[in-house]
Amino acid sequence: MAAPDIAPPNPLFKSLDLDLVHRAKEGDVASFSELVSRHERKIFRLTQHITGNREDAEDALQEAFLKAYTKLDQFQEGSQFYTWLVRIAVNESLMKLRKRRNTPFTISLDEPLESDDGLIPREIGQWEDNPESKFAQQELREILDQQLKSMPEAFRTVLVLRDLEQISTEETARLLEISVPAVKSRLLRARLHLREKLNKYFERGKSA
Amino acid sequence: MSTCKKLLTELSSYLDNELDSDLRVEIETHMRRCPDCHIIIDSTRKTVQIYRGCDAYEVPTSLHERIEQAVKMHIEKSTGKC
Ligand SMILES: [Zn+2]
Repeated sequence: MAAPDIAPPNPLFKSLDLDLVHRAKEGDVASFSELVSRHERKIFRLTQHITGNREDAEDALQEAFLKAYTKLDQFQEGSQFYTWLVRIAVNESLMKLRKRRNTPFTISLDEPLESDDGLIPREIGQWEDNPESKFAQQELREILDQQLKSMPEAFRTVLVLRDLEQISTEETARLLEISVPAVKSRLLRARLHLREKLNKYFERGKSA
Repeated sequence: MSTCKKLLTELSSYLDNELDSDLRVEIETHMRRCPDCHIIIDSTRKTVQIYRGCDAYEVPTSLHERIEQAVKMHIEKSTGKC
């Protein structure tokens, strides 16, 4: 069966996700393509940040959209498509991590990493007033990509969900199947870890 | 527990505005007197700000096409069966 022609983009662009989902459910592939176009950039950032690996990030992105398409009839139209998509993309990314590490996601993260030692800041210096203006977006992205990679994945995942996607603590806990206090504890450690790593770039008077 | 350590433990909740007012006042009072804690709070707040400001990623055309192709192949497979 030939794919239907791509509909003129203009009216589609203005449609809400739910309209597109509705049409995609009825078999309109162009509507699903439009959903991909609308969200792929943010979902790609998410899969890149969680997997910390370009190849895995690309595969996870593709598989997330494919899974979303095949499960479209399970999507509850009363909920938000993007959040639903994030949930799928997080799971696909975690699967990539598991495969690469060949270990379950719940590695021994509760013990040494969550001790108080990890909390004690080593780098303490006054930061610039407008730190984000110090680098171009592209440079900043490379710095963040690189520093996130060095962060334990359980911390990284919580950071992505809470600070990047701004998903609530409770929803994050549900998504990752961990407790609310664990989300809070990992978020604190993730932020402190990233702060430590970024210090050399943003400390006042340093050019990194 | 020393106040510095307590502040560190509550730092995330402080930044997210999740603390009750007593603890909040305690932290802010301490912060004014302790330069290190002031720096930690300030730089952690900026860290979150920088991270949140991170742009979405450009998806290369080839990857976008790969996604569409995967969906099309799935459709062909599921409709070709019968
Ligand atoms: Zn202090």
